[in-house]
Amino acid sequence: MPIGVYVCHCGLNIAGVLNMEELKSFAEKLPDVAVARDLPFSCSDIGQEQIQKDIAEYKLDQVVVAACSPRLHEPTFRRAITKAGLNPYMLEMANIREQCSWVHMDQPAMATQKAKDLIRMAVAKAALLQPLEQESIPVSKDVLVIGGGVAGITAALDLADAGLHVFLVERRPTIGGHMALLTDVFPTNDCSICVLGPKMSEVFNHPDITLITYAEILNIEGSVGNFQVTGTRRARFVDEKLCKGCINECASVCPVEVPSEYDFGIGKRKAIYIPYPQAVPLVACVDPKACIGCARCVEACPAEAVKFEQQPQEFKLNVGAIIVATGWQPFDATRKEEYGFGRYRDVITTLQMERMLNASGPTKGEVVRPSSGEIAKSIAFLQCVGSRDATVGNIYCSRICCMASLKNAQLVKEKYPETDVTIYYIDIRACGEGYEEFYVRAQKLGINFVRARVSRIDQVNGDIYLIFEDTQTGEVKRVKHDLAVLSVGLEPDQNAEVLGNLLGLSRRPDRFFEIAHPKMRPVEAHIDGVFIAGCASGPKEIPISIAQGSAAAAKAIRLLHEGKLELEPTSAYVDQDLCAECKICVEVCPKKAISVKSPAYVDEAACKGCGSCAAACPVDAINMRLFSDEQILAQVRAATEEKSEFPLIVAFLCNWCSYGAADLAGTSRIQYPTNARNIRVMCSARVDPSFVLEALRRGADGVLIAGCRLGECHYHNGNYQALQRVNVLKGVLEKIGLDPGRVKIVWCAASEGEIFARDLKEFIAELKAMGPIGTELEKTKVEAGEGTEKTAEGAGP
Amino acid sequence: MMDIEKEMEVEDSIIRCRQKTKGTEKVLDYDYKKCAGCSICVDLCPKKALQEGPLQEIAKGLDTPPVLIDLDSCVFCGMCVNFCPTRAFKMTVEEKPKDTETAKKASAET
Repeated sequence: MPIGVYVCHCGLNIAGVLNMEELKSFAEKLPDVAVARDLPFSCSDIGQEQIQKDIAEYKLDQVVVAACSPRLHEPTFRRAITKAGLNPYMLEMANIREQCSWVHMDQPAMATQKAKDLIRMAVAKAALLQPLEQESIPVSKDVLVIGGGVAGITAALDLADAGLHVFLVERRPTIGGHMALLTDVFPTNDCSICVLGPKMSEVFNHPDITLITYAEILNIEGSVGNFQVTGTRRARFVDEKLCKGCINECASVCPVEVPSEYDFGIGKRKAIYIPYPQAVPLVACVDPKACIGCARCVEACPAEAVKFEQQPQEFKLNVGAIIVATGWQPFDATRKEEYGFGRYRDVITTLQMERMLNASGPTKGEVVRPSSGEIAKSIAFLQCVGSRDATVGNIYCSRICCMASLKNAQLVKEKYPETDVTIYYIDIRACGEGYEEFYVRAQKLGINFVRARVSRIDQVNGDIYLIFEDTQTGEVKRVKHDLAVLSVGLEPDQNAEVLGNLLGLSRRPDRFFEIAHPKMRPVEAHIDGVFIAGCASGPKEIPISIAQGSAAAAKAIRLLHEGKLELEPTSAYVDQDLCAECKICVEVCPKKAISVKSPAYVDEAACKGCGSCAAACPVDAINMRLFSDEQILAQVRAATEEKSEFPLIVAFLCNWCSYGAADLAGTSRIQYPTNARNIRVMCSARVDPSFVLEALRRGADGVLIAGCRLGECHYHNGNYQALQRVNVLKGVLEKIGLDPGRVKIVWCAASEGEIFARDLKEFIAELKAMGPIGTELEKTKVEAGEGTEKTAEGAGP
Repeated sequence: MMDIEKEMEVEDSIIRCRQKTKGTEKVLDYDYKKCAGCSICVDLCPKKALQEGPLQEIAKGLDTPPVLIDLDSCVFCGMCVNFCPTRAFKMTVEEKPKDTETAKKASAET
């Protein structure tokens, strides 16, 4: 089993901190290592060729690359060794960049020591690697697009034009999203619905798009290639097939008027309504919260389409990929109490302004003071309401509000040249093609710009006054305006939260859905086969949402166009001779992939390789093809072979969240101590209590297990299972006289690098207080019992 | 827009409201002798078509309805009927047999 070890400089990213020469000579002396080299850039062509040359020359069986995170370049090196004739699974990576050199920049000596341990662990695991064959499964070529805004519409059309069938599911009665409600859009000031409307009807008429509006997703099961989706179509109380979309027959007799959500509260609609004249599908809808049941509409409808007896309908889909385009919701301006929105009628939001300026809006394009109905003569735009504002918990920039206000100010000025328009801003952010020119145009039109964050709006005798400090002159001013427009920021749509949990999507600190890589993978989620487009992953202007819709569609096409998918051979398998038929594995399996047909049997296509069954099996009859018991134990033993620091921590990190968080801590250069020796596992539930006991027996001072946040497990409930096992384990430790605090379980999402570092630091402090492993045994002088011999070795140092 | 005709008549203690449309005739009877003046219907009416009468005077013996109906506002939804604890309100809905001529017209329009 000759092994080749390649220690990567990664330019200065690794070599700038770690001692490469020392690592190389260390690796050379490890058992089974036939050749060790340090390469300036192992992922470059030259680096890959060197590895391939060595495979031939030294007849290598396994390759260890000590470089960046396997989440980044594992596929690259797998391809490289495959070209040289090795099985792709004969590769092991030691993460000495994200989880070593980048996080221990100030401690080069300790970091080099840690890197040695990581390499030793990787070599120990590599010696046990087995060749595995990828399995190919048939996949559904249908795609589910969730959200019918401009991003979802674009994705659906691109997919359907490429020949894939699309199910477009929209929560509201019409598609079109926020864009359909806007008036003219920047930077060209062309009419929004005029460009979007044709796309909306194209969706409706496309033979390869099934449009499901006024619907909700209830459940999603399965994985890439075969997602089983359950949803419900809410009752419209109007038959979609019979309604002719005549717009007014039913609504004109309806006696109930309520504020229209499509006018953001400044217009009204009836209890039976069509959201707006360009709605798709053009079908009325009864609002059951407003309807009083007088049944006039039933009588008035010439097509007899109103059906009060209509029930919600469940639907089931089987799709290969899912595109999440759930969009955004406006910041609730009542949360900024100092601006009086909701109390002062002449304080409105950008979206209400959009509806007022819209020719088909409630005021037919006139900009009026809601308090009097008169044309507003002096208008103030207040920027950054609910954005760049820590007091409401949104420190991010919403990106589009500066341009939206510049645009609305221009529209007002063009329509009413006499009107005085002032924009109160912190910074004007107009970066985009043609945006700066747009800003200059606004200045030339005579729009005033005042650099100030308005501190308060007062209403005196029906007039509103803005109180602010002009930061260019340093004066505190109080200025009267007829109308104040709050540029509200964008927040993630709350209705998408359930969906996010169903799919197990992680969220960034700003609460938008997180993409797989902030630069390199802009439309992919952390979960295979799930893509995110548009404002679901953060505020975006229309052209970028459209680009993302197309990008997500292209990714889905690339994934599904062959109708089959190569799967990683990660599954569990049963040693039939050992199986005791206790059925514990059947219960713990989150994918219901195990059945006991005496003995237990694993459906390898359904198994996703979390490894909970292997950890749960009381007779160790179940093992994993990747991340096998022997391999993990070899890593544990290698990590504890030489105890180079105190406290020494063996950390098990779940592949999906906490390993990602540890990588993110690296990319964000968050510094933390070098004590942890990380072992990647697919799920925190993979951690067999015997791994923990082995680590402690061999002298580790503590064991850290990190999983996804509770409720966000990639495999449904693996982290709960891990938690339960840790709790039992703590009891065991207590019985054998060890401090139960030596094993700790923490939760962090892939976006929480900071939290990972914080938890680790806390654990280190706790272990320092406990002292080296075995201290407590000496203190209490426990008499020889069942547990003490287990820890005897560990008690040495 | 659908034509809606309304009329009101008084018959002893019963105030009878009638709404005629092309398909139905709804009759809402309010028997004020049964009415206890609790005003549940006044609070509940989604169209605010019901109003409290002079309750104090009625308590002292004045013979007048405790609830006043504004026929213009009433849409014959029947909520007062369903919630009245003394069953002072009653509604009957009569569906007219389908007029073949109007049915033809409707189908021609669509």
